[in-house]
Amino acid sequence: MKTATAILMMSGALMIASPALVSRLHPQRYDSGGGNEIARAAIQNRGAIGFIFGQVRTSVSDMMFMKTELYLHSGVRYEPHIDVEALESGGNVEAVKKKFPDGVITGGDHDEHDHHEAPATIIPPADKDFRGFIGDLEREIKPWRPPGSPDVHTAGEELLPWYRMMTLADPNSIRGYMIGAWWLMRDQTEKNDREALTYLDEGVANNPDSFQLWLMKGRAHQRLKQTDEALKAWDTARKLAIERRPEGGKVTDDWTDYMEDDFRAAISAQVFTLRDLGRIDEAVHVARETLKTIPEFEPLQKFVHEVKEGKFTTKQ
Amino acid sequence: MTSRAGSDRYAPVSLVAWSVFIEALRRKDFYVLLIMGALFAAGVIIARVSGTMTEATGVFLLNLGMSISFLFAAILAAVMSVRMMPGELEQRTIHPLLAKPVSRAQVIFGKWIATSASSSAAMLVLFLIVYLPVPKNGSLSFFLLLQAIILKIVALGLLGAIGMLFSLIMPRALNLVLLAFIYTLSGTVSTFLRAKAMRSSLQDVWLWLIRYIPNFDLMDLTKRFTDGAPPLAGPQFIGILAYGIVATIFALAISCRIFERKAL
Repeated sequence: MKTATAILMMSGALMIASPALVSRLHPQRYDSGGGNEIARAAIQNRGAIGFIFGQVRTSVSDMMFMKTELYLHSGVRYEPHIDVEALESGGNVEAVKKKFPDGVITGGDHDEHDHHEAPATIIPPADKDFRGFIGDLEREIKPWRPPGSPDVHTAGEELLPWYRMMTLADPNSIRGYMIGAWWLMRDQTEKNDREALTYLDEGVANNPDSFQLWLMKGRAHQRLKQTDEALKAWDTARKLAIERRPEGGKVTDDWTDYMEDDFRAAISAQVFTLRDLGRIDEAVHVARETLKTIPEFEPLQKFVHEVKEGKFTTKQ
Repeated sequence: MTSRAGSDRYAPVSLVAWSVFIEALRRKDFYVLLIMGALFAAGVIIARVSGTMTEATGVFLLNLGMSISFLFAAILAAVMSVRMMPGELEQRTIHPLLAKPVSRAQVIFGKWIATSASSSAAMLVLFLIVYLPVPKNGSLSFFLLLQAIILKIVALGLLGAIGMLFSLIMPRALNLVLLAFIYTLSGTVSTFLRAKAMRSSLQDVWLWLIRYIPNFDLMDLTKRFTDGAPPLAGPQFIGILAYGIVATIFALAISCRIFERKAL
């Protein structure tokens, strides 16, 4: 009896202290060879069985992401065609994937004409539907638009709960945080900017190694005129990207064009904000340090050159 | 002399555990799960033979297979832990058991051992059934797999302990629903509450309290393994292991306390 009581007391004391231990345990934080979840999902979906399983793919988070596509198109079901990376990087819902004859899918904009095909609807048009009356009925009673007709996108606010659910289901869903934050910041109101910042703070806490989240966090701070915090966030983004970037910025499954663009955006944001604040020495220091990794980056070369020529002076 | 006293203390525990184990085999729950696992394995073999298997599909199926085997084992642990004590109390078979030189704590401990051992054994069998036919790529870490299995055994033990605790204070159906909720959604609910807490002025207090929710996601390394990630660092692994063991001991200790005070 005494032993049982002692065990209860001891385990109770340890349980009371357990949150201190739990807060340091993060088994789901890891770098699985780059962490580009879109590339991983694309590889996964190339498999026949992955395709057959359809929506039961990698996780609940993916299912919710597909829901956002459906909402975005007012309920009209299209074959997946949105360029998710463009959406992540710049909040661009108009960007679509291009399909080349060999089946390779890459990013692009609606206005690019080369190889671009209109996204097909899941419910086929009448001339391609063998079902006759049943097909007509389905097109009448379900949200449907003829393929090739202009894309109509709903307001992003309707999608926000899905992005929130995505990140709740999978706190490592970086794209959930990025796209959700883009939609929040789209309105350009201080309230929504603060909301986006809180959302990104959570994303950064759950994914501290994602340089793109740090970049966005910097942007949110900048919009709220919190310049020092913005500079710190961009500095973190730049350093994380330097660690991760393959030599020469070579595009791979784990380092895409968009990631390279975001890396350059982080550098530019940090250096040129420092320049505009008159903190030229700091700006030059960051620029020179970064040029060791990316010597071909012209805006930085030009800036360093202009400083040498005495075009900029440090403000007191 | 000490060794004799020790074996006397554990003999009733092993007897209780053995009787529960026999009961589990008689109920055929395990066989149902085994058949479902075998069906999955058959599907994988057909996919391999038909040539539709790519490396990516293999990773997908490995993830699915591991998740299925772990989930089935959790179902077994939950069902066993939920029905054991209420069954004994309703049928009054607990009386002849307690008439023997067996303490109430030994009954709880024996039943928990049987639940944990049966569900862990089921998990290992199901895991092998689904794991062996799936093609593996070279980037998977065997050491991480070992960590994943050990943590899953601890998770099953914790689930069984919570199930037994709840079975002493609530009806079976409610217990089962609550266990299913805790096992599958505790991580998501914790994340949701953490996100809410981050906006509160009492952020630290809330975050501390939220961490008392049993978090089974901590003990699930399936995705980490199939993503080809490296094994957990020693302190992380030991920390998670310690968390699971402490929570299990705490749940068992409370169960013993409640059962000792329960009027039969």
